[in-house]
Amino acid sequence: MNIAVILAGGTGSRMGMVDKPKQFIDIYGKPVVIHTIEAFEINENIDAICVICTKEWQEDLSIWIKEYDIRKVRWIGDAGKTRQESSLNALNAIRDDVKDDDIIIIHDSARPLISQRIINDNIEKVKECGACDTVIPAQDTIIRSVDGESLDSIPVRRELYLGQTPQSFRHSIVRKAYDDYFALPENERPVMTDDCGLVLASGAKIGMAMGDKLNMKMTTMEDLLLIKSIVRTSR
Amino acid sequence: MFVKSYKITEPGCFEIFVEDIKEDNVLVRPEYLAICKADIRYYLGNRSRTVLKRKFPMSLVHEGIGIIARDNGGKFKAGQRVVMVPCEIAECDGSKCEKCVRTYDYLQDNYCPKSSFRSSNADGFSKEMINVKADYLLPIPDGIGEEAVFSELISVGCCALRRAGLWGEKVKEISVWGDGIMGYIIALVAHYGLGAKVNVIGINREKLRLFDFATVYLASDISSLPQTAVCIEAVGGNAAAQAINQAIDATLSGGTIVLCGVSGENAPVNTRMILEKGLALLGSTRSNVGDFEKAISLLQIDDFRERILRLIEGVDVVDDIRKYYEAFENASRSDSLGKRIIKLVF
Repeated sequence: MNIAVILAGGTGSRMGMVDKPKQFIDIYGKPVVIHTIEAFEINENIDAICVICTKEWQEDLSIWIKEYDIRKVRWIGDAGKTRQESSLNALNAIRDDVKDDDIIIIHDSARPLISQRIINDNIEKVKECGACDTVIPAQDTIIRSVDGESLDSIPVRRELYLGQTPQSFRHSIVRKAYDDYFALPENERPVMTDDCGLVLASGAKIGMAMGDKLNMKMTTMEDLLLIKSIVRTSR
Repeated sequence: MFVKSYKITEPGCFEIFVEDIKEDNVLVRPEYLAICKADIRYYLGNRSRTVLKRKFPMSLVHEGIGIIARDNGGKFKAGQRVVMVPCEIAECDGSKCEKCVRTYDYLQDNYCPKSSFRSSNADGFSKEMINVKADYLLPIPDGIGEEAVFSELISVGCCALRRAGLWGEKVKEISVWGDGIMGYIIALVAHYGLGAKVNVIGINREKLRLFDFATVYLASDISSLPQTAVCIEAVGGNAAAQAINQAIDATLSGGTIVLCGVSGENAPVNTRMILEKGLALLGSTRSNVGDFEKAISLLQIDDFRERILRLIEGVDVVDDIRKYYEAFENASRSDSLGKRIIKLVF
């Protein structure tokens, strides 16, 4: 079974005047999170979907799932305080229904332009490597600065990639990585910004699937406007 | 749902479109596509500027097979492979026309003023996902692979023979003008679908060699060509007139000539001889769902399918717009009988 986990637990908004989390903002009459879920809903390789969001949005989410005839969502889980806690909650939510060999595809709800090719490539890469990150090659030179004032180094660009989502794993691999991480005392847990960081720390090998510039993350008001300008109403 | 597509915005120029499409029918992911001469005419701008302006931006390609992503109606299962029929009719009760063309067996859907045709007056299949009425999808039986992408061309051949009243009839002999892919397929359909002896008239010796199921003649030397009751012109372009006039000479009195090629300019034809022989000239283009069903039945005949497989010169995985351009450039330059087909990945 291939299970998509959609992380929609963010509470902050950098969307200017809009007073709701970015994943619930409408783009052409439909919330961003639904656009994102739909990309997985219509993928023939995805069997079920788990959505993670804060308790206060779960009723809205359930209504939208009905309204937009989404049929693959089997679990709605609570958001955690951090991304890691949200992913852990997703793994706990699906725990009774998954096998070790099942594939878990974890995706940001704020990336609604995910393509079918990226989803399929993630699944294929996990079958090959056990874990997979979605990346695009860095095209600009990346500068490293610790103090934000002056350059420390300029890493070799051809070795650098920008991480996107989905990040996908065999269930047994991601489960072990999360169990190990949360077994540590809270003050000893290393700071991680994504699931792959955590799985990498557990010693697992992670393959790469090529992402897409269009698979951008909607973080700021500018991103929202950019996505709206890209999407055209169909003829 | 957001769906990506390639659309032609002006001759030689494709753009990526992201659109929020409706999901009220069956969602299909186009998988294998074949570029047709009509697509190339748009790509090269070989239509009037007014026509192009009216049609663009538009997704090209109307020959394709796909995979069912979702069917709320329950007719298809997710993952099922289907042939996508490019000619569709909007909801219509037929009351606006004096007599609905769909009630005439020899006309039907593709001549309805309400019909739309993909990559002509509606978006083609160069999309991540399309929304199609279930009636315009046909399951691909096991044992048939990506060669099903030629179902549309085969159906056009079936349509031509149906419209000439030949389908289901025992036809002894047919002559086909044209050594291109359309001529090849119509000749194959006549041979395997009607059981007819087929004569093929062409100009290219190399291509004619591939018509090993037919008797072939060079257009410059058809003195020994037998007269037949039915002749089919599948030449088109600027050579259409010569082919039609040869067919007029080679058709028995009271016979029928089916015109399937798209002529380049107005073709001067020998009307005196048409009158003297009492010939019927019948135009045929495109096809309907019934013709696609016949095409799929033909693909289940091993010999027929094997000869269709010969048309596939390779498969190009198109996973970015640069490769999409390359596919059109290669198709524009190609003069071979077969085609390279596209595996579309968005």
